[in-house]
Amino acid sequence: MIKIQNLSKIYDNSKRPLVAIDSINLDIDKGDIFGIVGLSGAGKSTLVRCINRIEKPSSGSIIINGVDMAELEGKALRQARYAIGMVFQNFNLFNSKTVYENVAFPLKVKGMDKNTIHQHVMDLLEKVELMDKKDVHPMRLSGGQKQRVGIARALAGNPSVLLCDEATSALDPKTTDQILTLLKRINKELGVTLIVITHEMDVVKSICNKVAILENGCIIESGETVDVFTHQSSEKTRHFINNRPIEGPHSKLAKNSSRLLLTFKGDTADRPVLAGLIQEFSLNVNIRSGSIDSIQETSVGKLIVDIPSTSNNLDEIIQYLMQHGAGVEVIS
Amino acid sequence: MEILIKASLETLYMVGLSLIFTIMIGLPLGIVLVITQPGHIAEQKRVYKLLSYSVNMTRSLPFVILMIFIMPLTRWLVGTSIGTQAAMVPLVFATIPFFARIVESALQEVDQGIIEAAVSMGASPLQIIVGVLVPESIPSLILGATITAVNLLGYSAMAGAIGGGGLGDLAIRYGYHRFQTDVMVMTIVVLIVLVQLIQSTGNVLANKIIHIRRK
Repeated sequence: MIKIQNLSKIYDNSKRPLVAIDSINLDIDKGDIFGIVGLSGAGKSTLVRCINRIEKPSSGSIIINGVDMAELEGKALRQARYAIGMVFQNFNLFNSKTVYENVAFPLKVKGMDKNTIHQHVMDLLEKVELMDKKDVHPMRLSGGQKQRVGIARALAGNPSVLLCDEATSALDPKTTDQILTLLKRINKELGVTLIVITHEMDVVKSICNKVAILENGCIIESGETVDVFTHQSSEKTRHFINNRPIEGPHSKLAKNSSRLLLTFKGDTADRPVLAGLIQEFSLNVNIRSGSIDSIQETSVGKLIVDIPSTSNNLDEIIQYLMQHGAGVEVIS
Repeated sequence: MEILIKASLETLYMVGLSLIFTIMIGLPLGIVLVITQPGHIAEQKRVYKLLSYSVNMTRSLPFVILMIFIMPLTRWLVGTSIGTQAAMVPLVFATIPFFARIVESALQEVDQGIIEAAVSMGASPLQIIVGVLVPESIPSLILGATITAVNLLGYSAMAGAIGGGGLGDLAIRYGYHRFQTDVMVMTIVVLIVLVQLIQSTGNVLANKIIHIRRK
């Protein structure tokens, strides 16, 4: 549905040109909640701003519903933007307008008549549970309420894509959860594709089915969220994904032992794989630490274990574990 | 007393009408000064530079000099270069660039993110100006218009020097040429009252809008 090809954005107004995004390729399917994560300055905001052409890309194409956004100008560009809603970190609500007028504005822009606008706005306010605040100005609202207005406003044009630029980064954890639940519901009920920009891995874990990790304008990892989180991570992606449980303080490795990181995903987490291993090889397995995480409603368990081993049976042990569905990584 | 009332009315007429013309021309000019800036919704570097330069040029001329300098234009526009109507031409001419700069700074205070939000909705530059830029900065615009009105009042007194009528004219003719201190004092009192009135009207209006927006 969204196909980004060789997209680059170079700022060359300064003496040293700055490559904000460097030939990015991405495919986003209809109905995806696609997370784009990275540290600040990684280029995620620029990327999302290229999608609705608030920024003009230097090269490449952004094909949404068969139309290349990079090629559009003027009226055609403005009309294409109707199909792309945007939610901002700082809400960016119109302070001069009431909640109702804020949500109505994109509809007015589209030139709809008053009655249609009224019906639409009421529906949206109900959806975000803000009916009682309809005549209030944004200054009176809490952060969570402001963001719900922001979401209602972004949905007003019946967009097929919703861009969320750090939509929860200015909110407290409880409100963040509420907003994430709302976004997920919108994705399910309306079938809107969501592109979620964030620096918080927890946001990705809780709502995104796919994720891309951005660093210095390049995608260093991408795929299904569960896979990205369970898969052996490279040095680069490790500090985003941090998929190892914390090792204990007295975790010196005994002689003739190997330390393994085991990953159990979904139903393998329910099988007694480790118990089986202990019986099969009659080993004294020492569990160092463990964690369980819920990613996209799939449980992902992680264990760090020390296994006494001679070099010849370590391979067999790893094979046994892998046959039983666990991911294995030899740490040391 | 009668002459004082007559002069006050003349001044109010001059200032009021000039203010209307100033806003009618200065507001669009100020808007263009903002939106043509680099990175704004209708970036036009050349237009911006040209306008900005012209505004600076007009603003560098002291009012008295501008008034005399544009006399031929005044004569062409209103048929004479003396009197209240004639005084309004240089008044408007001198105040437009001032007000345009005030509009520019008021509109620049509108958060870039809010404009970005409007752009992301597919709003056209005109829709953004009418629907976002101006309404968002109305309190600042009102305060700016108030400052402009007070300025106009000051300029209008100077216009009195070339027979423009109004309080300035009165002060010069009676207070200065005829040494009637009482007329001079009264003129000053009226001017002080007028400035207070203009300023507090502006403040009340702006505060009222700010108050509504906090509700």
